[in-house]
Amino acid sequence: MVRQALDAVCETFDGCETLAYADLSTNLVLATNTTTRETQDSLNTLCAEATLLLDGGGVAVVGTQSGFRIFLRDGDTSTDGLIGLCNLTSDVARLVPAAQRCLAQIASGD
Amino acid sequence: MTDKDTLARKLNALTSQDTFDGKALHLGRSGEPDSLARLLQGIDDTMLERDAVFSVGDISATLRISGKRVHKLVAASDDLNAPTEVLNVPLRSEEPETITRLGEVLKALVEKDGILKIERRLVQGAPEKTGSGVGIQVLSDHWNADPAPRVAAPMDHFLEHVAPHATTLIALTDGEIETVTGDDTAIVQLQEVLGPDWQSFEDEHARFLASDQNINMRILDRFGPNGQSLLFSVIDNRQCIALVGTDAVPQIVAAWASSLR
Repeated sequence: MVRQALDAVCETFDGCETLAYADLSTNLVLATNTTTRETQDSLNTLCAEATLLLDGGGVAVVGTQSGFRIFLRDGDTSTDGLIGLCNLTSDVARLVPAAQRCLAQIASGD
Repeated sequence: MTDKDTLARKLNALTSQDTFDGKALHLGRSGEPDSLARLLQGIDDTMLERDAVFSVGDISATLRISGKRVHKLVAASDDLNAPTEVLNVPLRSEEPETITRLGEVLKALVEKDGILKIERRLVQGAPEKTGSGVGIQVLSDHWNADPAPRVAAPMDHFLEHVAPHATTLIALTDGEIETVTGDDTAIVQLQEVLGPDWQSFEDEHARFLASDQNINMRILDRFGPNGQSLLFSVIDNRQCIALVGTDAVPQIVAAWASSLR
């Protein structure tokens, strides 16, 4: 169910290459979209970055030369997090709320 | 949230080698028509002398680059079948065959299916004389690939789009404060939050340049003194920190994308 939810968001937004659901309290990625090409090492690094940047906030965005990394927390205190990797052509403005809904859905177990 | 220790920790993390950028930078998906152009972009973005490891999965080719000029192919995975005529042979514009052969090796790399990455490493050992190398234009002509045209002054473009959404904006060039605009109270508050890290923030630019992570933007939600988002960005030798409305994050993300395309 989790992977399907992640896949659905990636399929909706061109340029969204990776979406990972993580437990921020243990720095563990619990599930990713099917087509991600990230290695476990990369996912671990991303998860550590998510924990750091979401300390105190619900959204963090990192922009680079080639794209964006998006970090979301489900509420202020939850340990459920979502990590997204997308390129510069992605519609991040629409992707963020869609990813937030996806995270809330996963976290609630619906 | 204005917890000083937390903010200091986050700012320190901006230059950490343990971050995702500290290991390898994604240049985009390989196996696509513009993959070689993306690789050229990686060369064009390399000013300091580095061994740039371009990789797709486990397959890689390492180029010695400085001042946006390629000096030689230092190493290549066996899968790329790099001929001895190009491996560790200095590139010269008057020897087009070597340039073309190097292009073939790199084309073989970017045709692999995966994510094209670049990791810049310090050159090991004593400096060697490898000539002046070959610039982007010559490479582009021989490899039949053009790096995408870029906005002429990306930080100016970015700041122009950020300014309307910022209550406070501080712009720096070469680590020196250039302009401060906006709400004086917020600036004082921000300096208080940054506290003793304010000076290190100003110094941080030099570390960014040295670490090759000199194009970067971070938006941290609700981190300003009044619940605004904190924006921190670096493009080449310019840096800015700003407090922006949380509602403006989508516009700022779009501005970043349009500044770097």
